[in-house]
Amino acid sequence: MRKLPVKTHGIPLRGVQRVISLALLANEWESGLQFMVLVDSIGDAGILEQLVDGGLKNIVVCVPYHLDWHSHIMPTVACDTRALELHDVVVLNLEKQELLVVYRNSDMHHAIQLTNRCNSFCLMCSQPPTTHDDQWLIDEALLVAAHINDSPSAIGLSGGEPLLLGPRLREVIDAYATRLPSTRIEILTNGRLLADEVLATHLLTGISDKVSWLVPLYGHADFLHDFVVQSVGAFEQTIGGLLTLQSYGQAIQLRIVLIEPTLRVLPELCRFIGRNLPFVREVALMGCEPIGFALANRDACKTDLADWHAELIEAANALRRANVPYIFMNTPLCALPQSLWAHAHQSISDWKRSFREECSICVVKTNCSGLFSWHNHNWTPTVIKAIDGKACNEEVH
Amino acid sequence: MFFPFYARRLPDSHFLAVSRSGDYVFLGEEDLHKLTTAPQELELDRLAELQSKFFLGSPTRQGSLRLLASKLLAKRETILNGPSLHLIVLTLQCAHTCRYCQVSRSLGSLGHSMEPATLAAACEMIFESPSKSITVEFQGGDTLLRFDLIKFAIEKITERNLQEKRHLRFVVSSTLHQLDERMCDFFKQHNVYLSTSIDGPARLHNKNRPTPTRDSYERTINGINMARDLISPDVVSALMTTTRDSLLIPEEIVDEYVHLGFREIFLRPLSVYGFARRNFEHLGYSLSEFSLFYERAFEHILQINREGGDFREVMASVFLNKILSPFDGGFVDLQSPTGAGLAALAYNYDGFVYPSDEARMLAEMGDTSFRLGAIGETLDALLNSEVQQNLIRASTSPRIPGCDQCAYNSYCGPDPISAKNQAGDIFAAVHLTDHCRRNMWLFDFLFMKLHQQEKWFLDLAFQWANPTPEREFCCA
Amino acid sequence: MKKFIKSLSLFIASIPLAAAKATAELPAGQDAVFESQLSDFNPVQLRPLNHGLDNLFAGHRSHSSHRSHSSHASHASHYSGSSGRGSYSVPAQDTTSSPSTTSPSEALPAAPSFSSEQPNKEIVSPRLDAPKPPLPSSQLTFEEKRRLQVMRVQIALIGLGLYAGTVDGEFNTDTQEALRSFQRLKRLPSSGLMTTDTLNALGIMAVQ
Ligand code: SF4
Ligand code: SF4
Repeated sequence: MRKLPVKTHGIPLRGVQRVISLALLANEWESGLQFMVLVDSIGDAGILEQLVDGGLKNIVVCVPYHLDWHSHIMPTVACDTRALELHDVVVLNLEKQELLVVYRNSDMHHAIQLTNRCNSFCLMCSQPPTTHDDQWLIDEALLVAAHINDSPSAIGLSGGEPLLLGPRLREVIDAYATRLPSTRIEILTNGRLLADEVLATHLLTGISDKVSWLVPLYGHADFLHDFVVQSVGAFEQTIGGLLTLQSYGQAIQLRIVLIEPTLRVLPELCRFIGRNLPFVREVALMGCEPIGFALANRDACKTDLADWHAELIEAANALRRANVPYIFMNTPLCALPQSLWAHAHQSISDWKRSFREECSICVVKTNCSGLFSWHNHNWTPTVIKAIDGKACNEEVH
Repeated sequence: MFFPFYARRLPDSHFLAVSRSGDYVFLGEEDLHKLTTAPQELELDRLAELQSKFFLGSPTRQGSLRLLASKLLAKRETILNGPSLHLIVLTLQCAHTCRYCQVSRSLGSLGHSMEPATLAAACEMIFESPSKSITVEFQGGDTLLRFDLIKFAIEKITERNLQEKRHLRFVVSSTLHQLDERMCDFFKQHNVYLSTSIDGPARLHNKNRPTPTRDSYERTINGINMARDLISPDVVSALMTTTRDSLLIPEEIVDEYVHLGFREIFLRPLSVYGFARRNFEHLGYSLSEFSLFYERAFEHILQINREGGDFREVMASVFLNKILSPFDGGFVDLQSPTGAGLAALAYNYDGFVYPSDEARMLAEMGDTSFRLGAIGETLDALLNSEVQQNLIRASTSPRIPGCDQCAYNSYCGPDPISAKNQAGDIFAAVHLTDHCRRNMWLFDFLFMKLHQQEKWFLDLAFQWANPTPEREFCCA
Repeated sequence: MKKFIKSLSLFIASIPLAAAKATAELPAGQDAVFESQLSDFNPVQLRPLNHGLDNLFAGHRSHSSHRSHSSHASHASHYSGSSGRGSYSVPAQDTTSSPSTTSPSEALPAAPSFSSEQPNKEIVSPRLDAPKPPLPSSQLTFEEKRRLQVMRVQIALIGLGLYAGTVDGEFNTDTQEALRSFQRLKRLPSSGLMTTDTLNALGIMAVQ
């Protein structure tokens, strides 16, 4: 998530805001929303003060540092305004004097975090869970939905574990489904709590058909999966949850993070999926993010995909034979055997993606997912090596 | 703890074990022993594999048990969803005097066609089945001799389906000798598929299927060409029957099919009904003779595919579907309990309903014991009839002595109707039936192929195991 | 690799025994009983849904097994991480009720233990003071929509320096007068009403 240092004046509470220009304000203003109006002249700021005088309570003015100005009658944020875009949805964190861009129209991928809590404890969790009550995140997510002024093709609802919201998850889903009518809503969940029929019935009965579920599966036997997620009983619950989702006709993407414990069993796991979960829309095979627990569990999580090409190919064969579509995510092309390039996606979110020097001479760079910006030279998915024109056939084009 | 499964030593002496879910493993004697005595001593990877294939489990593993229940349901879909294949035997009239045919009557004979009122009742009865997909197949005799009846039935069923909205398909089984433009127009308009018989090259076909003019082959080919021209290139499929004369020329027969532009062949053994039974010495052969024939043809077909062709063998596809796919391909002759009655019904010209084509042929020979009831009775009454209940009892593989210990009983079960024909008893000792011996041989054969783990073959096997809508098995 | 197998074995050994031997044991080797026990489970249709009625994999299968890149791109989901954003810290006003947390990149967690202990999954009731998001404008009453429309016009007029009153949604004489001035400037019929042409010229869409 993009973070921006700010200096605030007169802002009483953390809150969700829609970034907007003075010109657009009249057209979009409504009383229940909060607007952060970008201005770059004292004159425009004056017009805003007049609006505040006229009774508008829900606007914050946002000025570039160089104006070196703050209002005495309305809350003011000073920051590098060039880093903001119109219709960004931002959250001001007063404690840290920081502004978080939680939603940006122009991003390719959007995600909203519903909780920091989780009932699993995955070896490679990119975002280790906390145990604190964070209900406020739910309220904030509902506000974010209201502040988005667009209907992107897809938005992810993530955690932590969203199912820990219990029945309130449905409230969030409904809010996004109503606010963003043409948006696919993708819920990143371990699916465990869906094994609970009461909760499943509440969440899934009459749910919007725009929803799909992104559920990780790390093994074909309980002890394999449970080991990776570090929670006994998780496999059985996830399988039960997947079946429940299917019984409600929900679209499912299975996700497998490629770390040593999953790579070892990948072909057999994919055969298991083909035989037993043939209803999933697709399987995503995902490179591991070197962040969070993955750093602490380096032994299991840091792998060179080049060492696992045979497994990757066999796994892909198994899925192909079972007619289960599959994609590779977060895997630079130079980490994959060329026969799988056609299945690799440019999956890394804009703000997380980076390339190496090496990449500038690589002929497939435009089709490549690149690396996570937090990949460093000690940890890359493989030895990054530019693909030269000769080695590359038309397959990628 | 281990779940029920059965193991089998294949002819190549490897052990194969198949679980109730239909998942299989090849394993050594030592692992087999550990599996039943001390699973915790198995290597972790093996343990995981056996668990994931439902050889091992525990009542606490709720998700897996629900998955297993779902898998068993998927396997039984064909017999649980209500009869989907409805055969209407319009007439016994036929211009041929085929050597293996049991039932046909000469053109002049009267009283061997269905009365329009009976046909109308059959058309209504079809919709009593709860099945969402319904295939109506017209059988003879030679059906096109009574195109009037076909037209009558198709129009009637199509009209009723305006309300019913089932997924409908029509198949007309015929020599195609009488096919003309008017018929083609009608078939095109109603989305009708044609099924015909080609036994192989002209000399074999004409020997098997004599007509006074000795040109059965040529006339069928003309029919095929006309149908492809006027209806659509994929509209015709063909069936072959293996006779003694076929045994020496498997490659030639396959090539004939490829040459004629078919994309598949169903290498069917002779079913020993009717005239075929009487002519057995001339036409018949043993299982080992058939298996030699089949294996040669099969290798030839593999070669065609290896060279880039797209040509499949239907019987292997049916068996591979059982072995490799979570979904049942819908082939009614390989179900447990039997698909006869549960998945298919034959409405005979004589006004009675039989559980299968074979059953009505037996009736033609005087054994009417498989009559489920008369056309016009309720489907409920037919399926609850004593006859149907006995068929189910005689074909539920886990409860049939012989089948109950068979590694293939997740895929297969006895065929009580052929057992009756062969041994006079639907409960005849299963291992002695041709049906069982042939199936066991073919399962063994295919598993040995699978065990070789040739990537190329596995790709093909999975492709064959997944029927496409145009290539579903139930009309074969 | 060795090390991993070792930790996996340790993990298995640590699984509580109670989970392994449970209530009613399924009888092994007895098919009939076995299946009747399974019938307690609510089986699920395993076929891909929405793939045609004819239950023969319509649409799901293609003759060639190769699936093109683009054919599934349309429903591919691309979240790159197991979650989309870094950890949040707790809002400022909330510091009394929950201690603030730090994001993972700042403070590395210790390696997870092999215990099966689970984080607190209790759900507490929502805070009463949580700000409530407004209704989407499509759910407003006619009166409310009109108010909103007037307020937006007032905002625009203030921005143009044509109106100096309050933004109150009242279509009062000041507002009408300001509108007339605007219409004159734009050479529109000076009706003082919120006509479509006038709204367009103001850059305001009619509230739906
Ligand atoms: S060298 Fe860079 S651009 Fe090329 S495939 Fe590797 S990561 Fe991608
Ligand atoms: S019929 Fe034969 S092959 Fe089939 S299950 Fe029974 S014993 Fe096995």
